[in-house]
Amino acid sequence: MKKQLTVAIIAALLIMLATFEAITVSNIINYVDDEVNKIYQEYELNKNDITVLYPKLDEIDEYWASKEWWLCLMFNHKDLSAVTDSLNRLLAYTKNNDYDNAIAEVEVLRGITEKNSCNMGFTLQNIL
Amino acid sequence: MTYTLILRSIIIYILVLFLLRIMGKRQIGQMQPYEFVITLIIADLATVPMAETALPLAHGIIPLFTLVCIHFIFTFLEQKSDWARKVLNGKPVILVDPDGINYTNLKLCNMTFNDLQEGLRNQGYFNLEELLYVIIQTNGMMSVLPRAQYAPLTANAMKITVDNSSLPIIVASEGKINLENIKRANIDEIFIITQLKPYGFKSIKDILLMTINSDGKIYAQKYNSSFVSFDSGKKGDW
Repeated sequence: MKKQLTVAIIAALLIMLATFEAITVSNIINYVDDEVNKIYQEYELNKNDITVLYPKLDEIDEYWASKEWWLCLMFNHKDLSAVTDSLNRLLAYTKNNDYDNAIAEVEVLRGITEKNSCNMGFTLQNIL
Repeated sequence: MTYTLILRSIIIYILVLFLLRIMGKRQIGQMQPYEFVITLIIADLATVPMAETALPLAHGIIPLFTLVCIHFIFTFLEQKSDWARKVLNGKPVILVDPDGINYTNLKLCNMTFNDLQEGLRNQGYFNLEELLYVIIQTNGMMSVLPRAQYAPLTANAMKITVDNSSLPIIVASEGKINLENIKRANIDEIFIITQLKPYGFKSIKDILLMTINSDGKIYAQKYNSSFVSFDSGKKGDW
């Protein structure tokens, strides 16, 4: 009976954790993915002075930094640091008004976030 | 990084120990196929996040807990359903019957004659004509039923009455008294010394091992000396 209870508790905790993780992670990843897609269009519109996008980008970076700790508990740190590194580079290019590098970095970031939502999501491809 | 690795190793070790304790006490050789598979996977899973610090511990812990749940479900099914037991464990196979070796079953188990002979020798049987049945159990252990004329002689077969042997308990070992057991045997240190003095024991420190059974029979051995065995006359009821 004691063993059954232990296993029931473990199973319940696993289901709770899996559900919490699925919801939280997809929210975080989707948010960053959406924001990066939006900002991509804004870079096109502000080709001459991309520094105006710095506050918005900083906001995304802060959001990511605040959520990264939680994600690190569940995902490979290398995958997560790829986003952080890319965001840092993008911040630097934006601050220096370096459009060419910035737009290239946004492309990279889009690729990474898209890959992450693919890798971290609960999909048939990932299961198989 | 070293501290991280040390702590991760400790966490994984304690966790795996805890999970194996939940799973039960069976030895590797007594495991059913599904238990063996889970044990193999657990060993592998535990080592992955132990050394790879970029991976969160959750990558090892979550599959480990999942496997324990699966193991529990399988054990439950095995206990409740004959069909599930057959699917999960297979069924015992007769390798030798009164007519001799069952070659079809031997091949079914992917066994050779050498494997069969080795298993039989482990059981203490060297000649096939001594055997009535040899059955290979689902956990891979071999059970042997010898023909009546080769079976070990028992008191029942001899139609004689014998007393049940009693369980000896350790009252002292390596110079120390086992307080719990001397209480159980209802004896004390003075009793031990009095009993052992005639055999050259000067104090408790001289005792390598001393046991007493419920008939009052004492087995005692000094360091670097041969054992003595005698009746103390002190009967117990454990």
